[in-house]
Parts: sequence; structure tokens; C-alpha cells
Amino acid sequence: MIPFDAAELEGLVDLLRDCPGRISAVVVPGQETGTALLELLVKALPELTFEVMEESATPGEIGRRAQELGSSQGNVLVLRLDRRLRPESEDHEEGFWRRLNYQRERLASGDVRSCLFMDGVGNDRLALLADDLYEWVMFFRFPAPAARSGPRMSESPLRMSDRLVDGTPADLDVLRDQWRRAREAGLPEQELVWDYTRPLFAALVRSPRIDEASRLWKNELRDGDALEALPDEQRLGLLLDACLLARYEDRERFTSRAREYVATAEKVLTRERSRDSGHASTSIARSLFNIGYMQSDLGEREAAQKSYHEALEVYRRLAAQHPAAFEPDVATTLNNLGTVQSDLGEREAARKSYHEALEIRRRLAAQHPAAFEPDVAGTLNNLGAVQRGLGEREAAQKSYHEALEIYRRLAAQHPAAFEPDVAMTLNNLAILQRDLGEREAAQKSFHDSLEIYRRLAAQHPAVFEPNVAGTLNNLGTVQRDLGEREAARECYADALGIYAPLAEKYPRAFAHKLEMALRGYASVTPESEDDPWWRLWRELTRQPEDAPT
Amino acid sequence: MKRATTLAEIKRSLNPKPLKLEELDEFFVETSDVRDPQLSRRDAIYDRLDVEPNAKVLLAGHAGSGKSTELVKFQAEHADRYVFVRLSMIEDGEAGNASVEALLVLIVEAVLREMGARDVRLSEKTLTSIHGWFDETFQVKQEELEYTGSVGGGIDSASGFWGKLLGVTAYLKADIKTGSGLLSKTITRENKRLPQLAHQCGLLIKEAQLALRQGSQELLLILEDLDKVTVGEADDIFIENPAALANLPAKAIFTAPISLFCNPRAAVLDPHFVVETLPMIKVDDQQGKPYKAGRSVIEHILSQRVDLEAAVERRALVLAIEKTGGVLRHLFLVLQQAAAAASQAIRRGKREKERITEADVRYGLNRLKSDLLRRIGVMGLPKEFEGISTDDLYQRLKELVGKPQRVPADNVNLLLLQSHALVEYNGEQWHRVHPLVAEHIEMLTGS
Repeated sequence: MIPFDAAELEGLVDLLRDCPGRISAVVVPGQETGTALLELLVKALPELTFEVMEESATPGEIGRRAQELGSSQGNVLVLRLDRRLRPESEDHEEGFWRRLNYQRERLASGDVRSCLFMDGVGNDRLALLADDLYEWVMFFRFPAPAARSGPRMSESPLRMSDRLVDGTPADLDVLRDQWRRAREAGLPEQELVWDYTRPLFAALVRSPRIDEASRLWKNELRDGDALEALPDEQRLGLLLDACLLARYEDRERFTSRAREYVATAEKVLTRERSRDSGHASTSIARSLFNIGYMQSDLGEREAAQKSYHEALEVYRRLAAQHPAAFEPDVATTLNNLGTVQSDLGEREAARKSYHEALEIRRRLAAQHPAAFEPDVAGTLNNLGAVQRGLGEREAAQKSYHEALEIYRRLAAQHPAAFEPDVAMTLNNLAILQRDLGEREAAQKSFHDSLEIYRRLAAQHPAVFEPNVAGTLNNLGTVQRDLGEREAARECYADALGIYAPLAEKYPRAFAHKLEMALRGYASVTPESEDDPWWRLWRELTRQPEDAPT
Repeated sequence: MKRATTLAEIKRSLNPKPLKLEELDEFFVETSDVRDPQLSRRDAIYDRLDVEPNAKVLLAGHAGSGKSTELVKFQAEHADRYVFVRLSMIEDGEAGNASVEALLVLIVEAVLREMGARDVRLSEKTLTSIHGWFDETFQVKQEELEYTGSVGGGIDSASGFWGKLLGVTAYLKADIKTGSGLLSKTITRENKRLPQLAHQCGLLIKEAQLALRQGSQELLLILEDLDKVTVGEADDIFIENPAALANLPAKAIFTAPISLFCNPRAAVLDPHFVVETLPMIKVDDQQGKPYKAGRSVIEHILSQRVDLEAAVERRALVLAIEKTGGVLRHLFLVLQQAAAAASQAIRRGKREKERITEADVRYGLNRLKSDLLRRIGVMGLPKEFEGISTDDLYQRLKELVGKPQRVPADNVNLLLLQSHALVEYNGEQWHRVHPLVAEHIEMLTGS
């Protein structure tokens, strides 16, 4: 007999018995566990009729059956997604989940109880590829599956452009196939690039299939003449995708592409404005927003502020006509504007922008919590940082706590998506607690944050190791303040172990962080010739011989 | 075909519908020289399409100016290079339900049908994927598809994904016709599914293009009757959401209302579309003198269908041509009415000869004039025309009557153009008040 977590099992049984029209997801480590659990459920709920759907059923068939069962009482539709054979290609697999996503309403229709059995991989696919469905699912884990995570891009133009992307990664196989045949057919280069290569590239970047996208960019786009021959408007679309790709590659590449994007976008914008005659146009607003974002990322903050202000003006006009369609864009622009204002030291203005963004997002979240609660939490986090900078520490603490509460709630449902946000907010809160002299509380918050970041870094070291190092450094400082010098030394040493190779590879990004951690380390460690960190610290702080004293 | 000689035959033969491909040899008369002697619009369109990959042409012109017939002729002239997919917002869709979404669905349906008719094989992989999207987005039940198939001429939804996809799109086409709202409720501006629909449409077009390339042909979409949609709908399709149509991976020609270009926002069209205007056939020159070449071509067009000498009095014919201002549809309507009036006179024993007289034509002209004058008003106009009164329209007409000129693109002129009270002529673009409206204005002013 496989031992099941009693509380989890009880919760699942209660949901199935008492809540028709709900979708549950049962995450099991393997088919054997799934089968045992299903037998248990059938015994525990004799009043319900369980129907196990064929493993080969398509999402459309699944949806239709759920709808049929929903018309009478007491039915449970079981999908053994844990037993489904993975299809021959990853793209087919992806297509299955994306299409299952469309069946959300049917799976929850009428009186049917849809119960999705899946393994850890299925859990991740549901989170990543069927996000609408994911929002409606109540999870029961036997035991907890391995979480998958990745960086979230919550406020970027790329997120906004996702709405405009022509196609979904589910089409990848078709796009690849059409591109290959178009190439073989010997189409004129411009036609090949615009009609076939570009859509494939966009879908690859957004999937993301980074290696394949990089190859396509390098071999078919960047180095060819076709890109140069494209009209600016079309080139802009490609460059935006290329910027997203460069984010996965390296900073320098991103910088150069972002500059090219801004230059081209400004040219297009000038033309769009001359045509627009004062009319609020979506493309103008989007261009301004994208330019602002890139400028901000390039460190050109004043220019970014101006662009965001202009984007905001246009989005406000659009929102006055179609609030449901454009209020989220108004809020996103306000949020980003606040961040730039904060970076420029204009904290009062930043606070005002965040407050307005927050007001809109709270209103939207009241109607669509799943869609807008993460945005509310994001703005609360930003607001907390500004309030801290303005010395409004209690208000800041309140903002962080509320953000943390939301993120924790979301992470319980979708750990892969929201655990990084929990860790980040804990870090912010801890810094504030240290400011307030609440050192023990700060230490605990840093510890909690560190635990999450370490777990995430074990899966994605390149993404989360810098966060681990930063949190270790902060924790070391609190421990030093508390007089726990040995613990502090260990934290600084661990942080240095991460920062040193990064600083060697990316000096502009990490040299100052390395220096900060060395300073901390030196403050809690006796000087020693044998200590490599001390030697490095001395090397860094040595005055040049001819420097004036 | 025998030319009409009796009144009954005249009524039948002067159907103001555009010519069909098979009617060209019999009825088509070249009008390019009397529209714009400098440049034939069909040649201009061909050049535009030739130069730019996936060029999109907006063919503007007054309703009844002969746009559709010109496009039919264009199709006949270039059938070796292009595979034409034609659809009409009126016949295939519903004018009152015109939207970008509806157009995209109609395009998918029309491309599928054309490829099916030509027995062009499309990749099953692509069709499966597109069908998957339509199926899961619209969730049309099988029994509903079967019903649509049975009423729509037996779409075989069982024969592969071509048939299945055609079944779903035919169902949606019926939805557009009846305005039952499945399309408009499923693809909304709020849920931002329009780009997905445009993407699916693009996938199908690209598939068709790849198949047609093997025969060294390419697809050319012709979307007609978009000049008959409301100002608001045209604005939404071309000004507010131009990208969905402009980015389709095929060359395309859209007939567009002339009013679309009569405001500063028309500049928004520039990056997406090239505009060609089909000028009206001139019956007078810019100085107001009879333009013989134009009148002669119009007479020629009529003579292809009607034995004019036998069936229409000379003075009646001259009057009809002069007073309809080169608008062929108006001319046909007037002569139809005149034929009806003559028939009635014969039935009542007032005369014997089956011939249209000046009085008959005058009757037809008066009927047309009443229609035209009814349109000069502001009741029920969209809010962008707020502040304009019927008096403003009449005041403007008084200013313009008798003085052919190039008018500025303001809302008053836009309304006058739409109502046909103002007519635009040739490539240099000058306007004059419609002769029948001018008669009325002159009567009012006593001039």
C-alpha cells in the first residue's frame, strides 16, 4: 500500500464529493501511484461515477466528453495524463497542452468533476503551456512534484507584444515545415524572410527554443541582406524578438540590439506621428512604451521617462474609449514610469505613479484575480521600495507584507511561476527590517529567501546564483550586526565563491558586487596571507604607487 | 446575345450588377481613356502589385463607378499569373456585420474553396493545425456543422482536414450572415484573439502560396463591397486595425469607400496600403462643356446591351446620359425606370410604340433625384458628424453648384460624397455636384 498524505487525500476527496464543476489536478510521481490513488478514490466516493478517458483522446474529445458528463449529476471524468505516452515530438506535446487549455470551460461545465492525473512534467507543462486552465485547477500533490522555474518577465514590452505575436508556439511544427518548403521553393529573399522566417523566429523565441532561434537569427536573418532590405516597420518586429533572444544570450548583445531597436523605433514613430494627426493609436503607444523600456534597460533613464510619459498619454486616451482593453496597459506604463522615476531619485513622483497603477490593478484584480493579482503584488513591491527610500518605513513594511501574502498564495498554487517573487519580496522586506533595527526578523527573512533561491539555483544556476550571492551578502551583514561573526564570515565566503567567477566573466555587472562582499568578508575575518579573499581584497584596495596620498 | 429591343428586354438587360467573367467578351467596353486619359487604373494596379511583395491595394471609387467590372477585367487579363480569390462583404458576408474578424474568416473559407475547386493539395499537417485552432476556439458542435453542411450544399466534413476546416468556416460564415454573434463574442478586442485569427488565416494563405508556386502562380485576394460598409466599420477595418489585413501574406485588392480618404486620418493608411481611385466617366469637362468622348463611351456601353436606335429616343438617351453624371449604375436604373414607365403607358393604352421617350427618362430621373435628395441629411449619423446640420450640407452645395473644383476633405464634403450629391472625376481629382442635385439646388436658389 502506498502511503498517501492524509491531509492532501482528504482535501481531494472533499473537493470531488462537494464541488461539482471544479477541476482538480492530482500530481503523482508515477503511474503506479496514480492507479493506487484512483482505486482509493473510487472506494472512498461510492456515490460518484468515475469515467477514465482514453489516454489517446484529443483535447477536443476530452472537452466534449466533459461537457456531456456535465449534464448529469455525480460524474467524475478522470484524465490519466500521467499514463499518456509522450508523442514523438516535443512540439506535438506542447500542442496537446495548449489545446487542452482551450477546454477549460468544458472541463468545468455543469456538474462534472474533472480530475487530471499527472506527473511532475505534466505539472510543469500545465503551468507553462496551459496557463488559463492552470488558474482554475485545484492541486493535490502526492508527494510534491519537482518544481520547474524560470525568470518571469512581468513588465517588459515583450510581454505586451505577446498579445500581438502572430501565432503560438503550438504552431512551431507547421511553421518549421512551411519555412523549409518555402526555402526549397526558392522564394525571393524578402518574401521568404517576412512570410516564413520571421514568424518561425518569433515562435521559437517565445517558446523558447533558444538554440534553434539563435541559429536561425545568425544564419538566416542577421547576416543576410534581407533584414536590411525590410521596411523599418517590419524590421522593428524582428528586432524586438531579437532583443528577447539576446536576453537569453548575453548582456552585450542585448545592449547592441536594444540600441538598434530604439533607433529604428524612433524613426518609425516619427513617421507614425506625422500620419496620425493626433489620433490615439495603439501602435504609437506601443512603440513609445517599447522605446521607454529599452532606454530604461540601457540606463538612459531620462529619455525613458519621457517615452513612458508620452506612451501613458496615448494609452489614457485609448483607455477612455476602451477601458477593458487598455486599462492594463495604462497600469503597466505607470508602473514602469514609477520605476524610472525612482531610479532618477524622483521618489515622490514615483510613489504617485505606483499608487495610481496600484489603484487600477486592484480594480482589475477584483474582477479577474488570476490575471491581475501578480501585477498588484509587483506594484506593491515597487511601492514598498520607494516608501522605504522616502523614509516611510511603516508604509513600506505594510506594502511588502501585502505583496508577500499575495505571492505566497500564488506560489502555493503555482510554485514554478511565483517562488522567485516570494524570495525577492522576502529579501526586500529583510532589508527594511534591518533598517528598522529588527535584526532577528531580518535574519529570518533573509534565511527564508535564501532557502528558496538556493532551491531555484539548483535547477537554474545561471539565473538564480547571483540572487543567492546577493542574499548571502545581505544575510552576512545582518549576522555581523548581531555579532555572529563566524556565521557572517561563512555567508560572505559563500557569496564570494559565486561572485568571483561572475566578476571575471562580466566585470561591469559583478565587479562592484564582488568588492562589496570582499569588504564584508574583511570586516569579520582576521587578515591573513593564506586567505585568498584577503589577498584579493588587498589587491583591490592597494593604492597605485604614484597616487597622491 | 441579342441586344434588347423591347421594353421587357431593356429592363432585364440593364441590370446594374457588375459584369461577370463570362460576360466580358459580350459587354465590356474600355473606359480607361474617358476616366483618366493619362493612366489606366488596371495598369496602375498591376504595376503596384508587381513592385511590392504582398502589396495591398485599396481601390476607391463611388458606388456604381464600375470598380467591380474593372476588377473582373483585371482578373481576365492576368489569369495566367494570379489565382484570384474573390469575395464580397455583401454576398459572402453581411454589410451590417463587417469587421476585420469577419473578413479574415471569409478569406479562410474562400481560399479553401478556391483551392478545393482547383484540386490544389494543401499540407494536411498545416490544415490539421489550423483546424485545431478553429475547433478549439469556436467549439462548434459536430451536429451543427452537419446541419450547416446540409443547408450549405453538402460540405463533406469527413474528407480530411480540408473538409473539416471548410465545415467550421462555412458555419462561421453563416454566423456572420445571420449576425448570431459567435464570431464577435469569441474574438473580442478585450481577449485580443484577433492576431491569432490573423495568424491562422496567414498560415493557410502561405500554404496555398507554396502549392501555387509549383505552377508559377500566386494568390491574389479581391475583397469587394467594402465600399458599401458604414463609415464606422470602414474606419475600424482600415484605420483602427489595418495590420490584420495589411500583413496577410498575399497580394490583395480591397474596394474601399471614397469617404475613407477624405479626412486627415487617411494618412494612417500609408504604410499599409496603396490607394488607387477609379474616377467616374466624365460626361462634361471641368469647364462644364459636354465631354463627347465620355458620352460616346457610355453610349457604347449601353449599345452593347440595348438596340438604342430602336428602343430609346435620341433626346431621351442624351438626357439620361447627361443627367446621371457618368454614374453608370444611375444611368442603368434611370433607363430601367423609364422602361417600366413606358410599359405601363402601353398597358394603359396611352401609346403603342415600345420605345423610351424623353418623358419616360424624365420620370426615371425624378425618381433618382428623389433618392439622392433624401440622402442629403444628417439624421442618424455617427457622432463624429455631430454639429453638422442639413442646412450646412445645402449651404455647401449652393457654394459648389456650377463650379467644378477640387474640394477640401472635410466632414461636410465627406457626407456629400457619400450621398452621391458630390461626384469626383478623373486622376486630377475634381468634383462637381451631381447634375440631378444641381438641378434641385438651382431651383432653390432661382438661378
